[in-house]
Amino acid sequence: MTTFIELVVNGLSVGSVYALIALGFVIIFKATEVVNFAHASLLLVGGYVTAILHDDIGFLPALGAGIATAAVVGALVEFLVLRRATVENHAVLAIVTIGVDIMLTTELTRRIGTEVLTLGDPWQNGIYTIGGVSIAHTRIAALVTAAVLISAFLLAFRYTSWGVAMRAAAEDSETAALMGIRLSRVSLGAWAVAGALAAVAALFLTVFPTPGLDRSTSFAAMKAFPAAILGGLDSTTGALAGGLIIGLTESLVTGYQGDLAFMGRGIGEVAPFLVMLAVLLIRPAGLFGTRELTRV
Amino acid sequence: MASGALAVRDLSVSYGKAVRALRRVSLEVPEGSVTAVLGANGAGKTTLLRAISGTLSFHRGAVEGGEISLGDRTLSGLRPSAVVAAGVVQVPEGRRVFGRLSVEENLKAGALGAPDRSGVAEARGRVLELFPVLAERAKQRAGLLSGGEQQMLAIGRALMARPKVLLLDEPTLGLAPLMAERISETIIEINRQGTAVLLIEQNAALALELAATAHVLEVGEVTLHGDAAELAASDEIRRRYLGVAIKGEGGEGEGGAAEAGEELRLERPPTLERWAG
Repeated sequence: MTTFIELVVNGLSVGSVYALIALGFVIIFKATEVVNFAHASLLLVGGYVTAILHDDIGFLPALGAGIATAAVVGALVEFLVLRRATVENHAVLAIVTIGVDIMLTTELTRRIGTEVLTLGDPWQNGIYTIGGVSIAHTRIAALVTAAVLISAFLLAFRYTSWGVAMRAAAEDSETAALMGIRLSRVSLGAWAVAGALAAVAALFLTVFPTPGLDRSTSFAAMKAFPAAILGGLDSTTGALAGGLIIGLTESLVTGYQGDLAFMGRGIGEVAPFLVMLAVLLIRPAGLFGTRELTRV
Repeated sequence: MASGALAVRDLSVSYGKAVRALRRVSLEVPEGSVTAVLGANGAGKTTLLRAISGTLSFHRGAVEGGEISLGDRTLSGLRPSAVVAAGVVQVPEGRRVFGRLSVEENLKAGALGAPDRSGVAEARGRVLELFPVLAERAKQRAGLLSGGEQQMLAIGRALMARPKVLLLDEPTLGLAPLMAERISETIIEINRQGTAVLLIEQNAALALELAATAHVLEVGEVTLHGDAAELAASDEIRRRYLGVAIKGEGGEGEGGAAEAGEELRLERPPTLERWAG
């Protein structure tokens, strides 16, 4: 039973981090109808900047710098690449983001090399033990931070002018333009926010029990793709639900791997994608999505 | 801040560099007036509004020549947000309210393009006074409103940006006669409060009643223009746009035609056959 509780808490914690990534993914899709395959590299940018700066300027300033850098890089991708492309088909832009992803990831893995960088987080490897259940400090921190950020984001999305502009543009971009909403500003904002969220996610993907930031971190970030897709690419609620589902699945399947030995080793890595496939078979637009993925 | 008349001079527009939609169209919406543009489907009415609002690029269209200005300020080539900020706001055809947003949020979205935020509360008060039903439905999703209410919301949303010139694209399309009547009263009221209106309509009778001047677009060109009342009385307009038959086609004076038309309207309601001529 204690194992089960530990796995669920860890799953929720990892899931909330996936939700942060998936949320950024969904915001970009809503604002620009582009599936952003460069998301994992934005995350890597944020993590890398935090990792190289924390020794000199301390953890929190370094994290701030990482978040700011990822936001700026996200905005630059929108400004320099996507805005210049005048193509009718959004699938083309999705492919362009794959190119951006390859460029960013190549440069970052060259810089990181074979090292494993720590991000200098204050929680280290501390563990709470309550009634036999052991939970790492980092998992609690991840859960709390993600919950705060996601609530703040959803409140802003619902009540601020920025949120109204985002939702109006997502629903009908031409009419939004007729109302004087600046679509270019909306999509620039979406990319920046998505980058910032990804940088926060980078921190929690690389803290204990993970050894640190290395060239494989972007693969971990990839698990947010099934989260966004199974939730429905154009639904913020879907991103949350998808993130938690993927986190729980991964945690439970990995935890009970021994009992699932007949499926072979490493099933925990594959399980998120299996869940995504199962959901898409039943609901092709995702759990909360309204648009089918035919245009991707 | 620009003010004065909205003027379109020699405007030519084409889609995809192939389809010429407007050919040297000129018209003027004097400050504080109502101007109507009549025409059949495909005449270029909506294209005209897209050109003014700067949204041709959404449809692969481009201005090929001519100029659009508001007072002494040039509007052609501006982005849609700049056109809105200059004081020209469009209510698109088919209402196009943001269905997943609440009524309140739709109005908020309309205010985003306003040149400054100070007058938003006042604009909101004015809109809710014009359309009290929007206050009742404030929290409802706009997609759940009736067609007439959606049209009111679409007009209210545009008014939130406090335009000097309101562009209306077929505001009564698909509405019940009573609701169409209600909308046209509102247009008169909006105009009375000082906003100039450029009204695009297929319902020529209604448009000519509301407008001071009118222009007739046919296949991308202005073929007739003038005082609305005079146009309403002219044979050409009566025959083609008001669906009134004229005895002995084209061979009599204005007074006679009007009388004859009046009699015939009672006997024979307008029919589509008129378009064959």
